[in-house]
Amino acid sequence: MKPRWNVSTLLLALLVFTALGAPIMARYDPLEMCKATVLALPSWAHPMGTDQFGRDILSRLIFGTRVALLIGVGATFMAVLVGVPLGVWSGLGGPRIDAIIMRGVDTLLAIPPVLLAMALVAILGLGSVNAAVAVAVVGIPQFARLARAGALSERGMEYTEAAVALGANWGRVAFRTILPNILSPIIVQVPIAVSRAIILEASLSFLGLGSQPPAPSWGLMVNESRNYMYAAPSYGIFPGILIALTVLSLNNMADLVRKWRRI
Amino acid sequence: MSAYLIRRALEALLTTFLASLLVFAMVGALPGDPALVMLGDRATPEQLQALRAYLGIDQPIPVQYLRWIRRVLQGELGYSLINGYPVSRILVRAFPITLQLAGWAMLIVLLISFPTGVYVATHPRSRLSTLVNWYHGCALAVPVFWLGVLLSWFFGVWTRWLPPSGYIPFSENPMLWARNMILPGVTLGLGGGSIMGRFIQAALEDVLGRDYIRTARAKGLGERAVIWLHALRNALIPILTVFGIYAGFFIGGAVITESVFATPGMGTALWRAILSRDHLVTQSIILVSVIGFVLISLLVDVAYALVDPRIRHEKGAGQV
Repeated sequence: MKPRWNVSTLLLALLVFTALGAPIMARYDPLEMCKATVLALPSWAHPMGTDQFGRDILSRLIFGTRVALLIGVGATFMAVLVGVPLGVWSGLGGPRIDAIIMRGVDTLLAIPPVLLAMALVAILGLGSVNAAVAVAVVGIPQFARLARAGALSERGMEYTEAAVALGANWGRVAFRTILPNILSPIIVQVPIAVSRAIILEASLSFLGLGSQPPAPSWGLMVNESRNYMYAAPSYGIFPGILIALTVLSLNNMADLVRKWRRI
Repeated sequence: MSAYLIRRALEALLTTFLASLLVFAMVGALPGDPALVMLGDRATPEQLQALRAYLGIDQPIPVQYLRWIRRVLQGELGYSLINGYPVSRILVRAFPITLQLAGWAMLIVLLISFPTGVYVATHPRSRLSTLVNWYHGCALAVPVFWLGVLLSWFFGVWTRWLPPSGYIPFSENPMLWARNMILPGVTLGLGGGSIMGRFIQAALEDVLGRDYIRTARAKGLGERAVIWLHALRNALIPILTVFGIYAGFFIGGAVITESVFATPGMGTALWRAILSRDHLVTQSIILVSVIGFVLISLLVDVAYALVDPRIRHEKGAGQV
């Protein structure tokens, strides 16, 4: 079955375009302050209003797309890059290596994600790059477990034995023979992981542990809006809607991918 | 049974030990001199030396770990570097508040998950079921912090039906306590209600096709009795495990919810500790939460084994 395009894939495409073309799409500089239009309600000039420094909220959201997608996709990429080889190694490396790696993975899983991310930020220091690293570490166990489960089941297959019998070395068996066959569940997990990463990054930024002001981060914008809920209720509503729509689309895309890969 | 329990307990112990190493490494991993990082540039050399001695930084690392874990086991978690309070006192004060929040959230979870889960499983083609599925999808996509801010704005600032934030102890004024807990409870419980609702639905759908359900219907039992007494009771077994998974989500959500509503629980304490670089408090709260989380997972596994005889007899259960 070919993947069906629907509203959510279109929305995701739109988000990617927005992130790439942010300087063209945004009417204002996301950091430019303007004393005359502080906390303005939505109008023609500022379709989503302005914040406490008179910055255009729409422009900040557009640039915030860059932050969210960059960290969401980047952190997931890092998690896959570390987690999948770790899982394959665990599945193929024999019981001792398996026990060591899986204990480590279980330990990471024993710490609630938000807590683990907060702890890592506490060590690494505040900031968006460190938050991305923390989000990536949180994502590693799921990919390691998926890759290990796949590697364990493919290990006993005849084509693996054939590859070994033909004299393929360890790395070739792991990455050329086994990896392509265990990719499906991992690919399905990717959009879910990206959506989790975006929420986690936004949560960290909301708590003041991720992106620091004046960066246009969605989570940070919701946090800053709290002080002006009475004067400008629209301030905090738009970033939240955008996060929810992005996450909804990514989860929907995961369903599409699942159907497409027939899992 | 006992062999299974012992093995699960040993696994939990090992996980706790490894997690404690990780938490311990937190302070060790601070760049540069931990004492300097903790106290800042304004600290006098005497203060730095005192903290170094207290942390035992001059000792080899395994000795440092053993000393730390011995103190922790004795309940001596150290002192806050910001206000000098004993960490144990901070925890004793904050923990019951988080527990109350968890209770409220659990109430919301049950109120949402059981009716929606049972309804969708028993009316798979109805229009309302489609609506409920949409609702679940949205509820899971909405970030906890935004939901909190939105509820606080709508009910607290705009309509003024409920306090937008804050906490009043139950002993002081039960009515105000309840009014203050509703919004945080809903914020924390809404997502969980959808997770659980979907699980109850899936578990129930699985059970409803079984032979014994057909038997129950065949012997003339009412539909309500079939679902609530026969099907749901059997469906509850997989639902139990979700509690284990959910606990992690819950603890993380509590941190965010508490910071939105200024509820003075463990989450707020942790958040403040991280922002003010109060690393001993951070370390202790994370350790206590991890132990709590591991204990919950263990209890869930034990409960699971108690209700399902297949698990306790299976060899290597709990391993993927």
